[in-house]
Amino acid sequence: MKIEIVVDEKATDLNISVTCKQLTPDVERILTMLRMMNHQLMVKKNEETYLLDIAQIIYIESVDRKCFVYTSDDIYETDLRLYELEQQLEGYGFFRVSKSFLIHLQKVQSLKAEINRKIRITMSNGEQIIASRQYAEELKKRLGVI
Amino acid sequence: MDEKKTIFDYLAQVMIIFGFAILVLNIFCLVFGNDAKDISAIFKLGDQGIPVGITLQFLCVSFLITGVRFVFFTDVIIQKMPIWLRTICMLTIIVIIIAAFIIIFNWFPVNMWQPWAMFFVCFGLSFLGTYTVVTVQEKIENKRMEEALQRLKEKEENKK
Repeated sequence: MKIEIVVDEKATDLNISVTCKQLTPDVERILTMLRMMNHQLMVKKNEETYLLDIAQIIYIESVDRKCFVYTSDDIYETDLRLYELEQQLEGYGFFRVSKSFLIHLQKVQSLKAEINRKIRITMSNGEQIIASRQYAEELKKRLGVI
Repeated sequence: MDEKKTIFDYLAQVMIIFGFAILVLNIFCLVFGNDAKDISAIFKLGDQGIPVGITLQFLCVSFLITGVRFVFFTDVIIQKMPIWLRTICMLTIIVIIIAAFIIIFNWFPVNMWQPWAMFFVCFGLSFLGTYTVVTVQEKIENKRMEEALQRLKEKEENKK
């Protein structure tokens, strides 16, 4: 892979151009990461690619190495791994609550502490997600309650 | 990614249960010791104290209770069970363990209903007390988390 950076004082906007022989999964991953800089996530549904506004995402679930992105009306798939999404979306108010879930804190409807030190999270679409013990502690730290 | 507990965490739990049991026993010993010394192995020294053998039996009970808590309130052995069912199973097993110790070590005469009634009243009160504390603590924690979440949402909203 060749990376070419052109610094041009006359440039008015940041222009990123990707040249490739074909759209391989690796290229798509690079594009997905770049799109995230623009508050968008490149996702797929029925073999079609969509650009999803990050603010629309309620949560992301990882199942058998595949990541599914949930919005209020649809479910999409992304080529990125959950840890990559976690790194990329950290600055957008996303938080890892278990091995399989990354939630959008803005889309949390309610939080309820369970007796076994886990946290039951109800999302804006009514879906309930359990934050495991270790992540529950981290979530409390993020909220500033411990 | 569950929190890793060490053997010292479990030993600390054992010591908390053991310490609480010995404290309650000592209070009972001071109050009922002399009256119960002829019928109970626990109070055979009257109000002079708890026999060493009994103390070790209570230590053993504390280990077993901690073991039962480990089985039902960590996800190491049982992973999917509702909280209410975990609580019922745990309480039932603990009652069975203590009843077995009462019978085997003659903590009090098994044919007398009064000590049994006392045992169940004490056990019930302890459970109710613990349940109340946990419930109140949970409500306070939920309120704090909800407030913190709202603050976080407002902060994120203001960033936009």
